[in-house]
Amino acid sequence: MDFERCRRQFQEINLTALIDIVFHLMVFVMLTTTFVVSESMELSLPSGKPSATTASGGAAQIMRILIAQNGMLNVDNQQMNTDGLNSLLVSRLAANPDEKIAIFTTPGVSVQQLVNVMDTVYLTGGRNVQVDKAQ
Amino acid sequence: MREGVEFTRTSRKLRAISMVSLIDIVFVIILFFIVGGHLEKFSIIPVELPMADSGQHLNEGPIVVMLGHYNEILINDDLFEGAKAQAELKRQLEVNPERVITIKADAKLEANKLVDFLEMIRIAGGKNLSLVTQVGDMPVGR
Repeated sequence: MDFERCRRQFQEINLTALIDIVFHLMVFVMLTTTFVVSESMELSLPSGKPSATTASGGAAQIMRILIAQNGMLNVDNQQMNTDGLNSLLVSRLAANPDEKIAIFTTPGVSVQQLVNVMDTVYLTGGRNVQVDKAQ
Repeated sequence: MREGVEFTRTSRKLRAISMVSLIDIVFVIILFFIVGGHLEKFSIIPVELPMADSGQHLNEGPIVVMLGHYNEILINDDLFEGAKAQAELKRQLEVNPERVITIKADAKLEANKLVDFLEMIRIAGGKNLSLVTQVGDMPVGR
């Protein structure tokens, strides 16, 4: 018997739909992905007792940092900026690493400004940190 | 009579452009985003975390509180107002007061509002808390 051989036709697969799906996937992933690395900072609760923002004779072991709205700092009645605080902390914490540090916020001070000060304290080795509102 | 020159007409073939390499590239881009980043969880309130260099990699606690720029309080994705937020915190801490409270406060929020919230946690009986920051080159306002 004589069979007729059927011709094989090479047909390309249509990839248009696949490309559409892949592009949609890419757009979704690009919009929802974030590269922000989040970390955490230890935070102590306020004492709940009214505390003086300025140093008095009996409580000289506590370093009091008052943050003003303009970003300037008042550290134990001395005006300074972040660099000044940094060098003061280095010398004070070298003498007493467990020194208590109280940070006081005033109206208008943002969380970022507070975190900047806390960051300076933690980076210089301060551990005993408490945050409170200025009275 | 003029003799015309005969040109053979080239047959135009419709050739499809190969898309295989394009798909390869797009897949590599998708892989880069999936591996390099992480999917952002949808949040009702937009919170821009403060930048800090001294943060540590800590796991998120069972109680996650978000403090928005306009003093909105979100406890585990539920919106609460002042007194109700304190009641909710108290309810959650009754089971175990040692539960870690993770605070995600907006960088532009007034620091006094954050301190007020810390006071609220203290009254509710909370003990352990952490403030979430993001790694940045230079914090704003420094």
